[in-house]
Amino acid sequence: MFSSYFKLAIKVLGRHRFFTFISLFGISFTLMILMVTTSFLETELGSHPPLTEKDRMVLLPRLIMKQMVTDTTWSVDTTMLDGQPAYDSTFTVGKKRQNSYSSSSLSYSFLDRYMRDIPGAEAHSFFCSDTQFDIFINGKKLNFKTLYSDATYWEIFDFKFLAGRPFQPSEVERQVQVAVLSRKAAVDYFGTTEQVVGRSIEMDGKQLEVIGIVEQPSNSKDYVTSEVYLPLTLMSGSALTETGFHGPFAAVFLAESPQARATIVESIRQKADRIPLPNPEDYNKLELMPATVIGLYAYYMMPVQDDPEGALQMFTLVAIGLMLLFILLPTLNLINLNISRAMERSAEIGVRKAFGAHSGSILAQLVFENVVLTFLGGILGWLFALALIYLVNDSQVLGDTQLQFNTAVFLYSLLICLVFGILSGLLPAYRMSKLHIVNAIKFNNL
Amino acid sequence: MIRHIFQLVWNKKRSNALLFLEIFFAFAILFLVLTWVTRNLRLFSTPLGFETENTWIVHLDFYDAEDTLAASATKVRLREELLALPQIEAASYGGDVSPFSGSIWSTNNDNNGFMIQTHLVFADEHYKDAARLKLVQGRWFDETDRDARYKPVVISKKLYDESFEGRNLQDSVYTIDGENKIVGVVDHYKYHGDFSPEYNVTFFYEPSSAIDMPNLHLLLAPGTPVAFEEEVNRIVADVTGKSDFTIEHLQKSRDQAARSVWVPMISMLSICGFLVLNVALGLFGVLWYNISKRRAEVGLRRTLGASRTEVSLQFVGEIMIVSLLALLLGAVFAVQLPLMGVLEGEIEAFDYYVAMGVGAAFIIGLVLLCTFYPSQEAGRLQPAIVLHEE
Repeated sequence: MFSSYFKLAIKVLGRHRFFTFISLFGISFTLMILMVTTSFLETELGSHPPLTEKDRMVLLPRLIMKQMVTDTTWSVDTTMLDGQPAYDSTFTVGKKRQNSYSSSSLSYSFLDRYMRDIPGAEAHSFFCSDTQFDIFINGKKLNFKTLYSDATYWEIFDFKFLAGRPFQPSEVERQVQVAVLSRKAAVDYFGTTEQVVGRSIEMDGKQLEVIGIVEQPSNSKDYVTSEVYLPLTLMSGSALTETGFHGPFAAVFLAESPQARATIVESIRQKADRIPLPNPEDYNKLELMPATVIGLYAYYMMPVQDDPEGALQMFTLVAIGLMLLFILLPTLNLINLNISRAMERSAEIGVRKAFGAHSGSILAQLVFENVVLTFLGGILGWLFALALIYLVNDSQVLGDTQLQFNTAVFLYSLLICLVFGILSGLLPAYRMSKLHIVNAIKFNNL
Repeated sequence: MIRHIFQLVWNKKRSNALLFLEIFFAFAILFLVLTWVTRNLRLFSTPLGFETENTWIVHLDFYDAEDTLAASATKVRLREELLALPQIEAASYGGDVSPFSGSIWSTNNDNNGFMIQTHLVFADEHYKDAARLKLVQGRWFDETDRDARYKPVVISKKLYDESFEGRNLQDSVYTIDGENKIVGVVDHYKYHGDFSPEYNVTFFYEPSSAIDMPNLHLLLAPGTPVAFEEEVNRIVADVTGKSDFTIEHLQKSRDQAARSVWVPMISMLSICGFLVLNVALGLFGVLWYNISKRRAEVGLRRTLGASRTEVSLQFVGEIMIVSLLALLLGAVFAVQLPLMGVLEGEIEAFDYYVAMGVGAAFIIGLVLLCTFYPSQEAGRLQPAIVLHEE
């Protein structure tokens, strides 16, 4: 039965080329944009190296210090009592109000002192990702972003090593001058990724031995994207010994399971209440901002202060809202077109009904035809999407982010096609299937 | 005539409802995107107020210096040595808040009896030349400001207009951040990028030698080769004994800041363009189809004496009525945003109204364009032929 529907669908498409073109144009562009968006979200938020275990990670990027003060109001009422003035004073304690506020990444000494034993965390790593160096080589300037970390960093983030190995705990401890480079950095500095391991790179006044080369992360998260990865003990100055709470560091914790992340988040929050502040006259309240990978992503996109979970909710709402608004127009347009086209076939439908076809089977046939059309558009859209992704990656419009089109995106796209096809076919098909036989046949000459 | 068309539209309300919805949503999307675009273009049209081309910023850091006096001396020596090079026209130290870095330091108070709200930027006496700032009143900082009794400040014209218009700047001391004397007013200083709103800015004076002025702004002679950067890098490394500094090309940062708005703006506009094109094609198709269904009606009207233009006008009129009604509903919703002051401060009423006007005009133009050809065709139908078919 479906094969005859299919043949019919193809025949109908061939009949009015112009209409078919309009429908296909709308469908393929809509689906193209949806596919590119899916691909973008999958690249930014999917599980790829080095974030394969992203659903088990809790990050701690920010420490907030506040001074909370309570407003107190004195009010004095004067009344005349027996010809004498009497005073009635009231003293009201108002709500707690935030007075000063300071938010920044954390210091190593703070992390080292308070964040080593978080219940529920299998592993933890402290790192600093906001250093940059200018290096001149053969008259060319290279700006290398440098990430300092401990050795567990490599256990938590599963970087794909093209060559060599990560640095070991003992190397971090002994301040061995070693470096892991990203593929791009290796190509920029040495001109190749072949046999770079063992050679040395001059940076920060040191000769660092290259011990490993990692594949570039395909997305733009600053806690994994870098050009050079160094042991944190190589940091210059007082970065490791500074005793204030604010500093250039962040932390990541690995939970046993995605569900166990809640324990970590909760224990970090609770811990913040028990840590004594160094200068209570300036700041008397400490808050830590733990975040999941996706939560932190949303936090950077949305104007929500210090609340990654709130930001994630907002992000989801905004994304769904925009998507719906975007799908709405092409759907309406397609419904409009489909109604016109289906009306043309009212005679055919009338005859089918006269010979005993159910409304249901007419509905199924028309929806099926529309799904066929959508899939045709989907294939076109898929080709357009591949071309657009290629262009976007090639021109580096999104910076370091390299969009991918993998199986997951493909499956999502199939689903999108199906939903879109059914959605835009349902109303016209429903209308047609409800047509009265007599009217359907009468108004049209076969 | 109009009433007659209304009747026709009403008779076909079911199929017109979809058209109505389509135009309504097309307007809604166009309105939102155009509001944002108008806002961006409005902000883009005001000048930055300082030089970005041929400007480099050396980002240094002296906070962990143990001997601050020695560090100060190093800073001064570094500036002098760089200035001695013929390629460098001006050099100045600035505070941590540097252009396009996204850092903000702001303050507000009403201690003077009127509200002052301003961003704080720290600059030395050379910054006016290094950034080519334009003064509209008074003077820039100079050496004498070092031991001034009240901290001298230079404010931006925007702050002047907002809070100091008509007030005496010469002999008064105002509280901005501590007790300050306003010595000058600069024209513009839009330091967050081309697409950023211009905030009120107050420059505070710090001498070049101060430790908390870590960013060295260099103005280069035009046509300085890129290779010169290596020489600057070497000199800075030699003089300061540091290697953890970077040299930022200010023009690049400006382009990057602008690009982060251009890219989403252009992609939104192209998506919008596609949606509108989609709607237009759909409209065209539906219209074409409807007219071909109503050939007999056209034939009848023509035999009864209607002219070609009248027939065409009828079809255009029908679609126009539906579109105008949809736009009217859209406008009723849209006008709420400026009336309620949604996102006030970020988006001005002006942006909303421009977007409404442009969006509506665009849709009307599009509808006219799409109805033109099919209704012309309808007018051209020969009564004898179409009536014969029936």
